[in-house]
Amino acid sequence: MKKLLHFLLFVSILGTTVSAYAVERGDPLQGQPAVRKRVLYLPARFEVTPSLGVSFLQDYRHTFLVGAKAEYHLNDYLSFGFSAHFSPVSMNTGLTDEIQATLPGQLEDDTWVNPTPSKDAMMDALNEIKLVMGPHITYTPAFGKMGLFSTVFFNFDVYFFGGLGIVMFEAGDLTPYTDTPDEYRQAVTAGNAGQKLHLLVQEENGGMRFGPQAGIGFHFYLNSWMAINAEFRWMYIKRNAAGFDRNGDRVYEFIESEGMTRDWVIVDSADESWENTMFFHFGLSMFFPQFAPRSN
Amino acid sequence: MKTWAIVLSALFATWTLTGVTAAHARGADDDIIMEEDDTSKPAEDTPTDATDPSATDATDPAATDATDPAATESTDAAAAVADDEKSLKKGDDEDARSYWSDIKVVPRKLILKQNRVELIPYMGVTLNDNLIRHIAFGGEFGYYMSDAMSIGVGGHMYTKQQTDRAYLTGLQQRVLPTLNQYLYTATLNVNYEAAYGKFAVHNKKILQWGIFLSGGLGVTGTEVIPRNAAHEPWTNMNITIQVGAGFRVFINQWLTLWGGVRNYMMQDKFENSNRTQPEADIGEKNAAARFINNIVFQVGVSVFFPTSFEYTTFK
Repeated sequence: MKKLLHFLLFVSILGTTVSAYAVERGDPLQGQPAVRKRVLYLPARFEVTPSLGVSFLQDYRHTFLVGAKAEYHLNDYLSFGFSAHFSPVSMNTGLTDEIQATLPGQLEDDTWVNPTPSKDAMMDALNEIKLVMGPHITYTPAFGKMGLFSTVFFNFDVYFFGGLGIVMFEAGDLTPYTDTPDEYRQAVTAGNAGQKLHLLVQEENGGMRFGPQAGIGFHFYLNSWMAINAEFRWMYIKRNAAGFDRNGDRVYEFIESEGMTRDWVIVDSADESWENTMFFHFGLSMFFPQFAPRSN
Repeated sequence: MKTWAIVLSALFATWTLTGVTAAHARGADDDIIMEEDDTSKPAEDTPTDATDPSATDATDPAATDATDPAATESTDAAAAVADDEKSLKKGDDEDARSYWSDIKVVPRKLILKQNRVELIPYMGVTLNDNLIRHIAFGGEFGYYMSDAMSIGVGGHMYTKQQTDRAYLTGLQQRVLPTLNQYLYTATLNVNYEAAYGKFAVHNKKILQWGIFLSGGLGVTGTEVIPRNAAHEPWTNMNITIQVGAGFRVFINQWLTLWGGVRNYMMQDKFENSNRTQPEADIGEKNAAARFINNIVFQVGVSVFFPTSFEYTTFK
């Protein structure tokens, strides 16, 4: 009986001790932040990022951009802002050069039979990106640090953003290369019809276009208020980049002097299609106020 | 009587021991969890100098990872060196810099790669051809000679998709584009991990990642897509130079998420724009050669073998 009592007492002591220790000890890292004493680059700071950009995977014209982004960071992971970039210069893509090299120098004599555009007509029909802008909301889920070749060290963060994309296109101009039914009638009467594309441009392929935008970006911090900013921006915009018809809609006109019916292909907004429009931006982010506190 | 004395003594000892161990546990926690100390006050009271390296230096000892197992001990070390830093600040700045010069930015890598092999199944998509898009499926096998450099062999097969633009070019500009489809690519590669770092997601979970540069030499098979369906196609095998860069995010000791962009450069042979003969050999003889950049975005996972390893150095 005494041995049993001693055994129970021992078990009781052991159980009480271990359980109490476990409750008190726990995991000391449970619920703790991953990084302490870190520089808080974002919360309650205003960011201005002048940047250069270039379009990506454009069909006909590469666009170079100059502009800026303004952003206010509500806290460590959420911000909102607006970006606007202007395109002062653009250049042909490889596809444009190839097409242009294949096309004839001038329109064919009988454009009813062979409506192949000339080099100039093809180039003048293209629309070009002139302005890219839009408001966005940014989510910054991750930050970190990195060593480059074990010699240069940066703090960085990665963010995702989404919002409304606005693109302003400069319209192409096919007017010198096309005729209307009335102009054709007059030309036939005057005996100088020919070498015109029979396109009825009812709507230009320029102006503002709206669509969603989204992207991913990085800040590589140089100090407490400056960072190199790299950003990939995707927009989904409806446009007619080539400036020609794509759906085959047309109008039919009876040409009295020829005694036959001719058809004019219509170029309008129905020839637009939703296209991926993508950009890379590289800029210098400046944060205000310049002082960045540290976390506890 | 004696038994009850033992019982009372034992209970007293139990309560006392429990209290001591709990206090010990709290004390240990205090050592690990850095409470706000004096090191933060100057930073909050005085604006940070834009040129102050301590404000942004990734080796900053005050920025410690509490939940990173590899960094747990370094937290203690960081607490100790924080005090050291205070005293160093009073002294010569140059001495302080040299004091920190041998501190690594990442205390301990999640994966050591030396003498391990890596298997990467991946899929990819070609990026830079507006008229024809290729989806690639393949893999890469590499051996790490050091923790940063590996040699290996990789390859993939392509499936093609002609884009709307390929159709529209014929419709709008009245031009039939000259296209080749890719069949396969195989290269011998050398990869070098140029950058290494870690990031915290919502300041809760720490992930480690790296950036690698890649170069290689191999072959790419292509096939002409005739403009005239009655003409015969032919295939080319082109010497290919590969350059690229990518990243990996480490999941555990043997698994990473892997991605990259690689440019496979080659001199390819296309159908001549004046081709009239349907025979493939005549078409190939009159082919037009052109230098091609085939840029492929690839994503996959990489698996390291053996799947485990032991650290041989101090933390």
